[in-house]
Amino acid sequence: MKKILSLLKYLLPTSVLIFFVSFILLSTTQAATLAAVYLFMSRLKVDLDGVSAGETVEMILAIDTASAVTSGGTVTIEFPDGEDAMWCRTAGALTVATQASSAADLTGSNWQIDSGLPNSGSALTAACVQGSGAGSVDKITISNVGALAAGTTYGAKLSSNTGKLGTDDTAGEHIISVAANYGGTPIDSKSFKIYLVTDDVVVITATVSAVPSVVCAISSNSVNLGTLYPGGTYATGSHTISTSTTSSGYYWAVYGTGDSSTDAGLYNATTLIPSGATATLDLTNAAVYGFGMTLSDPDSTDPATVTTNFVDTTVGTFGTIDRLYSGAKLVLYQNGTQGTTEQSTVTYGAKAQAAATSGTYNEYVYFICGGYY
Amino acid sequence: MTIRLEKYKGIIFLPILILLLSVSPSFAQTDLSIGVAPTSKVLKMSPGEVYSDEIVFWNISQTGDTYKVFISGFEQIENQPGTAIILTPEDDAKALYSASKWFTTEKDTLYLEPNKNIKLKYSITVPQDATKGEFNAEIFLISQTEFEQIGTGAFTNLAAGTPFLIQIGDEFVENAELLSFISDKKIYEKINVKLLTHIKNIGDTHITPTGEIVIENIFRQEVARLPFNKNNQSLLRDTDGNYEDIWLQSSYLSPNNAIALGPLKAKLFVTYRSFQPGFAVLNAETTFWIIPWKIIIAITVTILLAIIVKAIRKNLAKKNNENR
Repeated sequence: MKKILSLLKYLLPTSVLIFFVSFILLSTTQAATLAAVYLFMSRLKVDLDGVSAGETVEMILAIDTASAVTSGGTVTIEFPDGEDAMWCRTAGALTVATQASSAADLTGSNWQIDSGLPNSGSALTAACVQGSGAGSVDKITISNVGALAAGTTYGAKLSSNTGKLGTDDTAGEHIISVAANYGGTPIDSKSFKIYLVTDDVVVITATVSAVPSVVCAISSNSVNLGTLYPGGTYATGSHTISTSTTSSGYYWAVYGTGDSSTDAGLYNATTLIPSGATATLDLTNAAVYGFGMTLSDPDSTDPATVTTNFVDTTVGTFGTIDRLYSGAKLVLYQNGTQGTTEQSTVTYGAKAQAAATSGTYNEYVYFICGGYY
Repeated sequence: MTIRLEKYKGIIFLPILILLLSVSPSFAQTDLSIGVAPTSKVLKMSPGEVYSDEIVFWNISQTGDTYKVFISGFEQIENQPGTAIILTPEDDAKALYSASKWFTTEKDTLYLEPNKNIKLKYSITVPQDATKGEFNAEIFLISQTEFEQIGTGAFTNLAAGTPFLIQIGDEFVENAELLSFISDKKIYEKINVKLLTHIKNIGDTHITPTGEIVIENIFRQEVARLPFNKNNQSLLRDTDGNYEDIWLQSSYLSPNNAIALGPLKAKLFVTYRSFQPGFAVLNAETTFWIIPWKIIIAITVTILLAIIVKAIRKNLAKKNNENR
């Protein structure tokens, strides 16, 4: 017992002394943590070999030290132990370039690159070495780093050269350590995790449909015919219709509403300026009145055809329309596809009969467009 | 002062009156646009069967528009194969082969935003007691744009849709009759010949006639071969339709150097059956003339002028000889 007590006399103070001294030693040698760091990788897919097409890896490193680092130091990136030769697929020189910004920047924070990584007067160089067995890791070293100011985030881009960068073959978290060093001693460092996924490519597919389609458009849903005078001259107004189709052809048919009972035409609740019983109206003829329309030929060479009664070749002559779906008249059609939009001008002509009452006259014209079945 | 105003009041009020009278009615204008795919659909179904799918509509105008969805049986525009016009509710109710009641859509109205696809899902349920035959219906959109106007004018509505042909059963009678095959004119100056074929469908299903038109000259040499109904326009049951085929050629010589002038004969060969079409061929012939009369007159005048000039010179020479 006496022997144990005398032993404790030496052992206890020694232990306490070792404890405190070791604490002091640890606290003086421990590097400070980096204020901010991120490693932005071009790919997050597992097992990229860094060589094959579509398997190259680039990295953008953003680093902000908590303390100033003297010029002439290095920046290192260490990958997990046990993943040897996976991140550094081929040991050798890497291409390093300063990076003033990156897509991963978080605006207004320390995770935003302020400037490219400075050099010490000699150009930046980088190389990767492969780990070998336990305690040895894949490591990237950027050399000739210039003075780093605390609070400034520096960026550098690393890519394969003779050395080839890759990724580990296991999906999931991987701890990466980044350090700013001077004289071989870490000044600031930080470890963080990155996540590798089985497949980082989202394939966006869209099918260009082979289903026939037709696109029809009318330039205006209202056309002003101005003022009509009973027994006076005719007035006109126009808009355009346009069509494109991948179908074998297209057609336009038209019908009106008129007074909802007798005929299509302009109507003011008491008087109908009818679209007429005849197929066409020559409104230049003093005895003729009514409402009709013409269409211009969309092309001279294509097979787009304006139906005979609606051609615009005779000034003042207009084709007449009927009421309801059943009265729809074909006005324009085309045999064959029409990939680019082609246009036809629809001109309405109207002349009021001598007995027409005053007021506002309207006609609701329905344009039906379709591809052939 | 009063005298001066009196003197100039005409000058002051006349322009004001003219300005007031010249105020033209204002129209709020909206452009309309609608795209639709597919443009048609043919289905083969059985009683009790349910079919669901979608139609895609889109709008390429700069403004959005509301369209009302209609479902109705349809008919073709008179004599126009491949076209579709929906029936009025009264006509649809009476139509023997309207399938409109078999359809349901998820929406009654669609708002077509600019440059965006809108899918309209629909479902077809064939009644258990549906009889054999070919039925039709169309899902159809008509614009419902507000019209804001003052004054006389025309308001336009835009409509488009997808016609459906639904065959119930297997055995259909495909039968057709050729009513006429003619050219639109008998004499042409240039080769721009419109050949009109009128076919009547007397079967119990739609047909899609196809074939060729062969044009021969007076020496029975082939000068052109045109596809008939290259757009595959179909003809509904119990309807007839005009098919137009245009022979357009800039030269009076065919690629095989046959001359395309004078009297020409067009021979039509049409098949329309989906099974063993060769056993039901429609054929007909028509004749027309290609006479480039302007060229003929120009050549004739040139020849006549040459003869006249020669004769005058001859006479002058004769007179000169006599004078000597």
